[in-house]
Amino acid sequence: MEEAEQALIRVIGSKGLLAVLQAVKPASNKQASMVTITKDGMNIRWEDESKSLQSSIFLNSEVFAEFQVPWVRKTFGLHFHTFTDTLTVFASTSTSDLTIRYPGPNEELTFELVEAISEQQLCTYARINTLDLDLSPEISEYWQEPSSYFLAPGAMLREAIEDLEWAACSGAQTQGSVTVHLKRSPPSITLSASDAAELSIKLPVGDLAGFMCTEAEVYHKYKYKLMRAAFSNLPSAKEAATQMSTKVTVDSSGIMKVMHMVPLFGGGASQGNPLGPSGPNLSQGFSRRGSVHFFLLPQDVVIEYDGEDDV
Amino acid sequence: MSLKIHIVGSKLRFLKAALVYLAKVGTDELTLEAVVDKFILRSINSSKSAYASFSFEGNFFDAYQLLDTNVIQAGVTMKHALALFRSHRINKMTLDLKREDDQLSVTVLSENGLQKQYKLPLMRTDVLQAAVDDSSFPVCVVAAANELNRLLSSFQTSLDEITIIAMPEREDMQYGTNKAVQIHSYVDPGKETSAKALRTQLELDTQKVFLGYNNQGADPADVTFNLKDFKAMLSLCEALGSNVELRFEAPGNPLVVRPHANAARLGGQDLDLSGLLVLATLRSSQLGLPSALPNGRHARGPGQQAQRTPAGERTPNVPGDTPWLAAGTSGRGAFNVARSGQQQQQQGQGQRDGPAQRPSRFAQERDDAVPIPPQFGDTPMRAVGQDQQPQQQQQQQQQQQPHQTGPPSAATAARRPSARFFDSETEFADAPRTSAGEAPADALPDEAPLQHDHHISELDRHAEGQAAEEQQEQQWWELPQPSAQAHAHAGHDADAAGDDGDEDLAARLAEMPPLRSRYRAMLDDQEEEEEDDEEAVPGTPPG
Repeated sequence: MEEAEQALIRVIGSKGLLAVLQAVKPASNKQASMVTITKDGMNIRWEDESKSLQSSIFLNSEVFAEFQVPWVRKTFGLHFHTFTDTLTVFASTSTSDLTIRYPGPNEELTFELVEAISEQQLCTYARINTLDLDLSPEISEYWQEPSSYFLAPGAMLREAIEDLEWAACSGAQTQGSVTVHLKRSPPSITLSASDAAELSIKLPVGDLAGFMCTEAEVYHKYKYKLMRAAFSNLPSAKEAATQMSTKVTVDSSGIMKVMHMVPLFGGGASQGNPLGPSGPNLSQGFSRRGSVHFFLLPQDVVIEYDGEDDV
Repeated sequence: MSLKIHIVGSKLRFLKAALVYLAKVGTDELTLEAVVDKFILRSINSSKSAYASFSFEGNFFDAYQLLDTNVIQAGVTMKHALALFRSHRINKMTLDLKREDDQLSVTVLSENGLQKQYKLPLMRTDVLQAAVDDSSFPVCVVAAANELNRLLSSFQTSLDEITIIAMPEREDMQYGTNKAVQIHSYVDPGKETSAKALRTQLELDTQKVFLGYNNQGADPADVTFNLKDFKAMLSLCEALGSNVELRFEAPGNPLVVRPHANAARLGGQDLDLSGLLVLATLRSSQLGLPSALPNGRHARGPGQQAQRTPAGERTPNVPGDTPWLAAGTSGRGAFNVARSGQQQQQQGQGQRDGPAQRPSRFAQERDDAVPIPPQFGDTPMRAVGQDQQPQQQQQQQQQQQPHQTGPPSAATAARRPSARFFDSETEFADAPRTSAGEAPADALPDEAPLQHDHHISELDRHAEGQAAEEQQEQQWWELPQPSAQAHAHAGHDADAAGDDGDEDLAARLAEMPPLRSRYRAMLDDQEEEEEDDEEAVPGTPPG
């Protein structure tokens, strides 16, 4: 295939990209994900086996050192763990720029890393098979307004969800549930679980960056397993955790949308990098962020994906 | 009836340290007891061989209220109690216990602003207390917790028990170096790997290592106890910033460990905290001395346990942590615990009464009534303490019943092929087979089989005799085959060589010990047959 029809994406050090992908790491090794490349950026999406959780990562074209897409939109399937394992290999070997091309031979996704060692060049090359994948329609298509939301530090929500494990799960079972209760007056946000024991956690509404409750009370239950996947797999590095903000939105039917703004650190120096020298830098880190989305269905909502709603 | 406790700031770390300490000793249950001026947490391990408690004076807390009652007792799961301190940065904690609600409400305020409310279900539990009066224990050791941890790091990490030996002070002076205390690793001789276990011994200069040492007893004293529980107290003392005090008397009596003097300080002020750890110790002394237990004390039966205070009842005249004495004991403290497993069965059969025995958590102690099976090896087998008291051991062995065992294993035979262990029913492996009903000529007299408790030296002597017999047997087989030779002599040179060969053979046979008489008989039979063949007319069938 001619190179002119290939999308070329150059990543400044793959560690940051890898950290973001780890945030949406699915539980199953065989999890397939849908990758969509447009002129605006790259979107990676997958859904839980129960189809009650959909996750997606959107990486704006600006976070890459180079982003050339000759077409409008192309979608292909990819084994998520194969993708992250490949990135791990490149991240561990060098901090040089990683070049991703699609489509490669046989519609494959190709990776190439060239580094200069003692006036000679070393090239590391990988190819991943792509899949023809049909995922369910996005849960966001069933979104119903009005919705309520709040903004909180990602680390705080992570701590709350991890504390709720004691009350939601007994032993190795993770079948418990977490209740999200929003109240307009007085404003309050409470996460609680009462399966194995009772624990309720109130968020400090007065210290939050944003809070809005469109109804007098919003009360929905979600599986603890899905809440943990949405809040607890985020980058645990101290700097990333402190700079990560999370917006939680609940629509009128109880569908929860969780959006994390994750900083992309760990880039290496590269000539022509429009973002400047290497190393984590607050101003540059702020501009280099990826957004991670989760859509969760409440326990009392069932969506039939054959085109009919049943809420 | 209700209890309300409020605690703020850096004091919370002492509460957390106490919970961690209690969780290391007793992993299942945490008992709470609140009295007018004290709040006590207790735990006990599953085998009831270790008792841990931690007390807070009422004025330690920022608020302490006991309403409509003088005492409240309750139990919660240890896992639930530890969940309160899952997050690291806690600013405030409020405990609210209402008996009518049957739950303990705990409100935790974190540094990041999260307000967590836990509701822990209460459990029906018996509040156990250890009745130990350690004020009269002759041995008292005070040491820095980190120093003891450093010493214990010399021992194998997988070690379960250690022995502390304390010499009397007057004997100490004889050594001249004040090395009055030793710490030994204890390896259960009943374990299969005991022969290969790493053993470690430390001799400690009490003046250099300890902050205080006192042994008012006339004899050396040693105690063997569980190391893991002991380390739990050392960790607590390190967290509190205090030293460690050990008190013990004799093997079989409990070992008492506590933070020494002022348990903790905060902001230059002493805090009213106290901890206690009571460990059961091995009954037998590693020094070979008799257990110094007062006469008249009887072991408790399997169903007996330390007396329990029913939940809700106040122990009379007992301020907080001072317990009653368990039934059936008096005087200086008896850490009477419930036994489990085999020991219970044995004691249920009423085998004997005696001083309090080591609980079942430790490895099973060998019962002297059960004969110790002999072991092959280069060194004679020795029971615990045998080296120190050979005469006593011999007397015991003479009194023991003979123990019959099966034939030696292949491995044993390979290691020491000349040593055989046998009883009257075991045939000699290479002994000549006799016809049915006929005892081998070399069989032992029809007496009682060898005592199993013979020293290996006895077996060695027998083995040597057996080896000599084998050697003679080998020599016998090196001689020309009597049948072939006799045939050759008879068939070819009967006249010329037969007389000489027969004379030599006869001489050799005569020199052989009676053990070979059976073979002599076979030889005689063969010779007779050959002679008969010679007399037979060719072509005529013999006989």
